Amino acid sequence: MKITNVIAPGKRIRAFYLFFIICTVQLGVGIMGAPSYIFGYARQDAWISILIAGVALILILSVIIYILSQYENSDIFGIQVDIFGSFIGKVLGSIYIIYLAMALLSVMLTYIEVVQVFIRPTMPSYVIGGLILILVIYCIWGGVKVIVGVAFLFFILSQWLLILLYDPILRMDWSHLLPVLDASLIELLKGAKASSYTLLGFEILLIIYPYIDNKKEIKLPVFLAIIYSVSTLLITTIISIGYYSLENLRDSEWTVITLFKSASFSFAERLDYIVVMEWMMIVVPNNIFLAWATTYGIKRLYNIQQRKSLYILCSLLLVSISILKYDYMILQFTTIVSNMGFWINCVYPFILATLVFFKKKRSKHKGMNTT
Amino acid sequence: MKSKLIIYTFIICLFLTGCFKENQIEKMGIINARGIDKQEDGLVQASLVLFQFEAQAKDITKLVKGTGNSTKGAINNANLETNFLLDSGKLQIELYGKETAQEGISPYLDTLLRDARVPDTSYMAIGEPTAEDILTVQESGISMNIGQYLHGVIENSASDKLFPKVSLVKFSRLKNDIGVDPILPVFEIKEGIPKITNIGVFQDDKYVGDISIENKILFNLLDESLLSEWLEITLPFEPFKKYKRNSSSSTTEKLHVALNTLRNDSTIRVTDLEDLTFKINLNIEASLLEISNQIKLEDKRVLKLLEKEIEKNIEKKYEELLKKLQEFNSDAMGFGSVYRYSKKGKPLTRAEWRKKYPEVKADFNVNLKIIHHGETF
Repeated sequence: MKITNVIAPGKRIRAFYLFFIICTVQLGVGIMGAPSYIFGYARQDAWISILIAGVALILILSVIIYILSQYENSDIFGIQVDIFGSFIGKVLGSIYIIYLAMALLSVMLTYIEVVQVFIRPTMPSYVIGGLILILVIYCIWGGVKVIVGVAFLFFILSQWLLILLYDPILRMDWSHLLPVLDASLIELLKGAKASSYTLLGFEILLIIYPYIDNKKEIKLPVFLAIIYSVSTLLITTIISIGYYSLENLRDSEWTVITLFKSASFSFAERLDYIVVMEWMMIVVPNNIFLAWATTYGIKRLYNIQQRKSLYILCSLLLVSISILKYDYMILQFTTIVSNMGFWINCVYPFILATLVFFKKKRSKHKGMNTT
Repeated sequence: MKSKLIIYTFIICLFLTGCFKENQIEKMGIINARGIDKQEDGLVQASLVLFQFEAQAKDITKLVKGTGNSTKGAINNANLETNFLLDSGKLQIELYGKETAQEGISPYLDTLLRDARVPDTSYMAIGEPTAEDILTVQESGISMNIGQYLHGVIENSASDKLFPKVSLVKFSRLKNDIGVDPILPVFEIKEGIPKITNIGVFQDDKYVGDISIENKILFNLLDESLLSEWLEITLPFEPFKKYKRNSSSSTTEKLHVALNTLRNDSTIRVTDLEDLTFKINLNIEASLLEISNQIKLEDKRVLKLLEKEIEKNIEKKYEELLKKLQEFNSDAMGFGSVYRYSKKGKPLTRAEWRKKYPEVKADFNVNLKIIHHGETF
C-alpha cells in the first residue's frame, strides 16, 4: 500500500469542519451514563477529574498533530506501515480497525438499550439497529463530503437539548459539591480514566487527516472541539451531582437522560421521550463516522471495495446486536471497548510519536550524509 | 421512475407505523393518582384514580383497586377490574397510607425510580388514616378528579400558600442524603374534603411524627426563595402602646401582623464542630399587608421596633421547631449536610449523625426589613 494517500482536490474538506467531526464522534452515548461512572471513582470531585482529562486530551492531540505533521499526506494506517514495515504495520492497522468496529457496536448497543428502556420495551433490537444502519449505509454511499455535512447539520440540530437542562439546574443542591478536593490524587486520576469512553473519538483525526484541505489550520478547530465536549461533560456531571442524591447517582445508569425527565412544558408533558428520540441525531453521525473509518481502513490496508466491506460490517453488526441483549453483556462489552480505546488512543500515540521523531531524525541525518 | 420510487417508499413508511403496538387513547386508563396501603396480610393495596376517554362514559375519571405482592402486581390486579389498559405515564400524585409510611416507603419508591415511564415530577403525600380513604372521598365537594385536586392543592402553593412541594426526585434525594430528612404533607378528610392538616416528619424513609402546618413557612424560608408568600405573626401589643394612633379604637392585647415576603436568603454555618453549634442567618425583605391595630408607622423608630419584635418572634418559632424535630430525631432543616461538608477527616455516617443530632444547638439570627407598608400608614 502507498504511505502517502493523495486525495483529489474536489473531495477535500476545510479544516473548520473538524470541530463538528470531532465533537460528534466524541459526544455519542458515553455522556448519557458518564457522570455516575466518573462519580463512582472521584465522588463529588468528579468535575476535577474531568478537568484533568481535558488537559490530558489537549496533550494527546498535540502529539497526534505532531505525528501527522511529519508526513505529507498520510493517515494512521500509512504511518504505521512506514514505521513498522509492511507486516507489523498491517497487523497494527487491523487492530485499529477492530477497535473502531467494536466502538461502533458498543454505541449502537447502548442506544438501542436506552430506546427499549425508555420508550419501546418490546421492540426487537434488530429493528432499531436496522433502521439506524440503513441511514448509515445511505450516508456512506455519498462519500466523505456527505458525511461531514450530516455531522455538521445534526450537530447544530441537537444542541438545543442543553437548554432543557435549565430545569434540573434550578432544582440542584449545590452543597453536594462540597467538600472540594476530598478525593485523593489516585481517585481523581481513576475518575479521569473513567471519562475516557465518553471523550474517545478524537482518533478520527488520524484517519480523516488526508482529506483536509488547509492542514496548517487544524489546531484551532481541533482544540475548540475538545474544549466543547469536555465542557459539555463537565456541565452535565456537575448538574447530576447536585440533582441526585449521592447514593442514587451511583446506582443509576443513564443519569443524563433522567435529568430531562424533570423538565415539563404545557405543550409537552414528558420531554424525556423527545430527548431519547432526539438523541438519534447524536448517535447517527457518530455511527456514520465509525462505520466509515472502519471500512475506509479496510480499503486502505487490503484494497477491498468500501461498499462490499460496508455490507459485511453491517450484517455482522445486526447479528451481534441480536445476540448481545443482556444489560450485563453490554456493560462488559463497553468496558472492554473503553479499556482498549484508552490504551490505543491515549497511550499509544506517545510511543508512535517517539518512533516517528527518531525515524525522521535519522532519515534527515542520512540525507545530509549523502549530499 | 425516480418519483414513483419515492412515492412507494413514502407509502411504505406510512404503513410501517402500524407495525408498532398501538395505544389508542379510548382504550387507555391513564393513572393520575395512586394510593399505596399495606394490608394486614402483608399484601400491597393500590388505589388508582384513572382518566378514561370513552365516548359513552359519563365521568372521565374512575377509581379502581387491586392487591398484590408488589405495587406493579397490585396494578395488574386492578387491571382485571377495568376494561382499560393502565398506564402510569402521567402520574401526578402518589399517596401513602399512614401506617404504610411509618414502616418506611423505600420499597415502593424503587418501582417509581426504576420504571422509565413514571415522570419525575409527580408529588408525594401521606393520607391519614389510609390512602384509600382520601382517594375514595365522595366527589361532591370537589368539582374535578380527586387526583388533579390533590395535585392542585400541592402545586398551587403560590395561591394557597400551603406546603413546600416535594417531588419524587426531591424526596428520594433527601431520603438518601446523609444529614437531611424529608417532610411530606399529610392529607386528612375534613368536612368531606381532603385538606392538608399536618407536616409529616420523616426519619430517612420512615414517617415518625407530625408537626403543625403553621411551620411550613419556616421550612419554605430556609429551603427556597419565596416570592410573595404570606407570613402571619402575632405579637404582644405592650411595646407598641405608646405609638398607638388616636383614631384606632380597638384595645386588644395582641397585635396581628401579616407580611408579604419579597426576597429571602438563608445561610447555615457551623460555628463549633466539637460543640455542634450552628448559626443560621436569615434575611427577609417584606412588605406589610395587614396590621390589626393602627400604629404610627411613619415614624422610623416604630417601624424598627416592629421589625425587631417580629424578628424575635420568628427566631423563637424556629427554636421551638428545632426542639420538636430533635424529639423526633429528624433533621428536616438539614444541619447534617452542612456538618458533613464542614467536617474534616472521615466522612459522616448516617448512624453517627442520628446520635449527634439531638445535641445540636442553633443560633437563629433573623434579619427582617419591611420595605413597603401599602397604601396607608
